[in-house]
Amino acid sequence: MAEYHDRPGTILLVDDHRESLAALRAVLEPLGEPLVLAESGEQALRALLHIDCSVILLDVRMAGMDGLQTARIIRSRPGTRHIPIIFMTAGSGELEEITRAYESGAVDYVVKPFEPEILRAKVGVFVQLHSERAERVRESRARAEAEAVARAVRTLQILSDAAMTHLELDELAAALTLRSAELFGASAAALLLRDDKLPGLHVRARAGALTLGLENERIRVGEDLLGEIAATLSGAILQARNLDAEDRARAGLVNGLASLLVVPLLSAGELMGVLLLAGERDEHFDQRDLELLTLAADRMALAVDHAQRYADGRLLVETLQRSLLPERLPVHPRMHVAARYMPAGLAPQVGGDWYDAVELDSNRTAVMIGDVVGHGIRAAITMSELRNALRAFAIEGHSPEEALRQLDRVVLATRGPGMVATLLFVVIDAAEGTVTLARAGHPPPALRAVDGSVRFLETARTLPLGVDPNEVPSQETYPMKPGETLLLFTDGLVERRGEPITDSFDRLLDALSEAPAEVDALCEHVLRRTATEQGRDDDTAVLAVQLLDSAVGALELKLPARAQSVTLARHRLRAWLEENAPELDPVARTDLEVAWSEACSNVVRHAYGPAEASFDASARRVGNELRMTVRDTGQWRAPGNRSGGRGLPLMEQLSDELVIDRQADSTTVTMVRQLPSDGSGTAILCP
Amino acid sequence: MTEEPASPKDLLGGAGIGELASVTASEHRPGLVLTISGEVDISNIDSIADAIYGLPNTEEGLLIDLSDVTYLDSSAVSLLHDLAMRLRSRAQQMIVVSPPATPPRRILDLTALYVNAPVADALDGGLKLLTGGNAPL
Repeated sequence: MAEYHDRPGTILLVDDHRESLAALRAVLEPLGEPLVLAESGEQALRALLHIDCSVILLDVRMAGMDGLQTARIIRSRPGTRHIPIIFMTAGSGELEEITRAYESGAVDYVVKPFEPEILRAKVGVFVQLHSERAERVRESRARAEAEAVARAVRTLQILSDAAMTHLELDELAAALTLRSAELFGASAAALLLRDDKLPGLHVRARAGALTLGLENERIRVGEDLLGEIAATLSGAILQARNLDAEDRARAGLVNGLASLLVVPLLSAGELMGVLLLAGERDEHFDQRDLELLTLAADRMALAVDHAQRYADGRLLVETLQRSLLPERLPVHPRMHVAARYMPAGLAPQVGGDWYDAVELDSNRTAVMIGDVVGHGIRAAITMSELRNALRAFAIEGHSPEEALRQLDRVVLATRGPGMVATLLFVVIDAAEGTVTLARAGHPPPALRAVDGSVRFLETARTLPLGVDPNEVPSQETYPMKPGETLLLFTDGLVERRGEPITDSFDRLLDALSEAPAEVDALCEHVLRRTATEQGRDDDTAVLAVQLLDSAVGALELKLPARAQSVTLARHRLRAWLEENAPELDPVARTDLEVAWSEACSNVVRHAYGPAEASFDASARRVGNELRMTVRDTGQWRAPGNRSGGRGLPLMEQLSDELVIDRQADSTTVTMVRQLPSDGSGTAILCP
Repeated sequence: MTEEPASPKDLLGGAGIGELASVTASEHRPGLVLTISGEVDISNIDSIADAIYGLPNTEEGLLIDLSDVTYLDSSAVSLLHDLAMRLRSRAQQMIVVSPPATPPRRILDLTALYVNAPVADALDGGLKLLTGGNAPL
């Protein structure tokens, strides 16, 4: 008798008594949500394969598979794990049965016979929660899709970066057209650009096996089909089968071409041109292609604009250089990072110096700096490749020496011998207070202690990348204390023609020793003090990282495991939140207070025996993420009856992420809550 | 419509439960009104429970007014649950008053099924429920 609905918000009722099901249905029907009835646990599990369920009402005592077994299976399946289960128990609701119900994943239980009004109101709460959760899932899917697009765009950006090696406009146009056609599998492509002397947009480049038929090789903006689309300044997809013969010809869809992707090239809101891609199949392009190419077109437009305006390519080169450096450095609660890049002299050249910084986890940040020998676009592209590869190795969690080993392999495989690059890769662990570094032919970093003394952190000297496949880099680990600053630099900072390198290093040590503490000012100072009057012979990059005191910004408590500590911990958190997350509204602040108090209460109740004991509680904010941790070193007892098992579900509901790490000798509860980036601290999952 | 409640009689004498919260009780025929204010957590829940369980058991039902509670967590939720279960087994009713869009009400909403007692937005409505028997929410 199971009725399957594929509508959101379905309420699943499971009871092996038909009369009970009928009664439940009568009670819950006024909610207006679809109901699915199941007469056994097996039937319920089958139904869950087909429905999007907001809440399950599950009879504990059923013939065959009972409610507890059913619940455990529901909890074990990824697709149904999140569905709230309300157990229905007959009679008094014995404590043991209730306890087992919670253990098997119940969010609540009700005792039969229930009061209809109350049951209906309460189930309504879960239906509402479900629709809010569904909204959140939709949002995160949209984010995932946006990320997929962003990945594709990055690929395209690399291609268009490469295309910019052709500073001459016609070569640039040809490269962009060809690469776009390849990327989107188009059979024909044409790039039309504006011309200062003639009205309209004119074909500047074509690509593909087939040819788009464009009358007079141009589009008149605002006229005809393509001209009208161009005038809207937004892209479109055209299908030949939806057009009459005349429009088909005007859209260039001849020679077997069936669909057309039209994207305007806009620079500063101005129409620079139009890129046309055509396919031989209907529906060759989808909405995602349109979005992707539209994003890429912005970049192409910029390149075209630069190429048109600056014959010497000076600005383009600089833009390229800047675009290859990180737009912003990671913000870390325990580290300050700053960097500077100075081009050499006045030549319109791109240098091969680069730096990057990547946050690996809440404690560790990787910083890297490198120098590709040579100048110009080729060096810049190599540097871009190195940077991207190293970034990937860092994020994958490779140690510095392993990352360099991998990178060496990449360089040898893709560039072959002859491409010389130096590199320094450093991982800073704020929790451990360590610096681990490996380098390939690069100068070592300098560490400035709190008292101003400076020394270089050496590792075994190695060859640059891409020289010798048998060369194995090795790493060293040094302590780094709060207040200390690490300076990474390229050799442009120290090299001066006609001067012994030791003199240059001494000058750097002096400059760093007396530099201001603040990292941005420190970088400026070091650059100024090491420059010659004639400017620099070589490009120079510097990057400074300062480790901060752990107490800065974070709330750290060590409290006796007593009930009064929970109150104290909450009041301290409240004060800390007021200072460190003032944008939180009262409800959201209480969410965090409750989640925190529950975690502390659990320690007080369950973690320790009669002996005096203590626990640690900490809260920190990183950007828009609040992270609260409660840690004890006790042996947990089973929950007693007063706790009622409500704490954990509340912690779950009130945080975005709850992780309970039970080790043999300690338990750590971590709760994470994202603050809205618009600054308003709205509550999550608020019915 | 509802009869004028008898003049409130403070049954607990305004028991201060530590510095965190206070509990007072008064008669509102045919029930009892219990007013809690301040913060309720694991540190004072046992004192509050003792105060409540020490109340005379001569009335039809109990109204727990949480309008002046600024903080509560699962310790309070468990107490409300125990009270509701106990009263129900004696054919008495329990009504909770908590204004909407307040932090305590949010916790009550999230744990509503567990507490399993009607929650009124304001004292007036709560008293009507108490005196009117099984009136709809």
